[in-house]
Amino acid sequence: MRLSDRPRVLWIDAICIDQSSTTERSAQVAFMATVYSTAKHNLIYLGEDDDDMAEIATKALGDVMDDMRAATADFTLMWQTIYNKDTGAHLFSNEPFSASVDYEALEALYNHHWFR
Amino acid sequence: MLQEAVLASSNTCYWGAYTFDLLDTVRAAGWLTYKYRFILDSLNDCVGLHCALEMFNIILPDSRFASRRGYLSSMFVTIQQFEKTEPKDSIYAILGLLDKDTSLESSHAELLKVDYAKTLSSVLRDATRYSLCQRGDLDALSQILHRSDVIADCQSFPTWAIRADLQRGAWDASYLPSYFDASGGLEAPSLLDDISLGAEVLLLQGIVVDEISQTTAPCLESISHSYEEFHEWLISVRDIVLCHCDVTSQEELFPATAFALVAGRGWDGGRTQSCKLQVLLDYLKSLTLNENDQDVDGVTITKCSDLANMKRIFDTSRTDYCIDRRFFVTGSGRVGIGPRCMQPEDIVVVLRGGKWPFILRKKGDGYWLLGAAYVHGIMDGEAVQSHKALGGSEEVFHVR
Repeated sequence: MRLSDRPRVLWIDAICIDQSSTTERSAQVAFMATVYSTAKHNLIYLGEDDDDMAEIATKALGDVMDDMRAATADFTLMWQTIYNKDTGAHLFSNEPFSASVDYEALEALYNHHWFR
Repeated sequence: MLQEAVLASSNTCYWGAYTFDLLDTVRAAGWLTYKYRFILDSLNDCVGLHCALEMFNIILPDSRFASRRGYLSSMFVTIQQFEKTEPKDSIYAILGLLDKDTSLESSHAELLKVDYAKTLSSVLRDATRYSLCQRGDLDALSQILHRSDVIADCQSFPTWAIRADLQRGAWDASYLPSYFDASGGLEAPSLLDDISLGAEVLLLQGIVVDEISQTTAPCLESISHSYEEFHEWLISVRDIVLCHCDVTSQEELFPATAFALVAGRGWDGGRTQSCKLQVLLDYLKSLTLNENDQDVDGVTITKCSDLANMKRIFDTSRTDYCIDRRFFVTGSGRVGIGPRCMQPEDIVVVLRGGKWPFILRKKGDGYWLLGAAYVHGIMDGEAVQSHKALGGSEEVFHVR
């Protein structure tokens, strides 16, 4: 997360809040929404790449995005493609992915504890 | 984590030396679910993917879904998907997502004040009361569906407190459809914020409609997944229906049973009609005939065709509301499906602000709330009308 040309100052919730103090946690958690919504940029640390999956998963994510972009006119038709406009029911496609996608790598991505 | 995803203008994920936009992972979850027929089963079952899909649903711009963020009661549905390292965060971690314009006046807002010194039980209890007051109806209580193991915990949690801290399983009973109006004709509830008997006691106004006389065993997930076992379970349904009706009422009770087994819902998500339930109805009736056949021949000749028909039932009617519920017959001969923990002598009530009838159990000088139920014939306010016609008055139930 380090920048190559200058120092970077980060506020990290897990470290900067004294988790052992209920008073501090109560105050900080109530303030959290303000922090997230006004931050210029949030960084999310998913974990180390011990199994060398990150590269393949990043590519697989890109493949899914390409497929989605092509089918939804650059996301502009995203919602009406996936949901029935009148009932709000989730719709399901009969079209396979146009290129092959590495599902196992995506599983490793969504298995990160952060997502759960 | 939900708050970050929804509130921040941009989020970058770091995984080892690689980075990507969080929005891509959230959109990909929507797309992978849309194309679930073509992805690996193990990815489909991945909890993280389901959670990312919840984020996707929350960022949906369509007002119909955005309203999810307007009410705490609908946010409960979202948070039950997630694992919580701190159970109290099931409430505290989502407060920032609630739309501010629908927030209640300060006396109610106090119920949601972040305070980790409170016990989990009081955090959940107060959040549930807030969600009830916020909407002024009992919609949030559709999520109360006690199993016997959870009701044992009622010492520590009021039965009406929504356990947002627990993660929902894929085969937990699904919530009943929302287009019913069992309390139509009753006024709006006026005692939801009344804590004069203590914060643990919820005062619900309404009428006693009926009493449970018999239930089947719960239709567990394993039963619903096997044609043979579901067939056996339907026989138990048939048995208690026959036990509580004579030949003339049978004509009405079997169609009512078919409606109850699908909770009145059709494949398209709307209300179902009798003609759509013909396969299920014929099946229930044939179960009756089979027994007579057996009496005569002494052999089971219809078993194979039963299983073929069973497949047609699965294909034509949505019996998944039965999963994790019991089928029951009431003292007045009504039929329905309700929470797993229900048993004979529990009562059926219709409550102000309740779209569905509820099952209560008398306990001491008060009641336990066991859960919402589908009771055929009283889903549109019929019980209220007949109660009024008889000049009946309302009661206040002290629910603990």
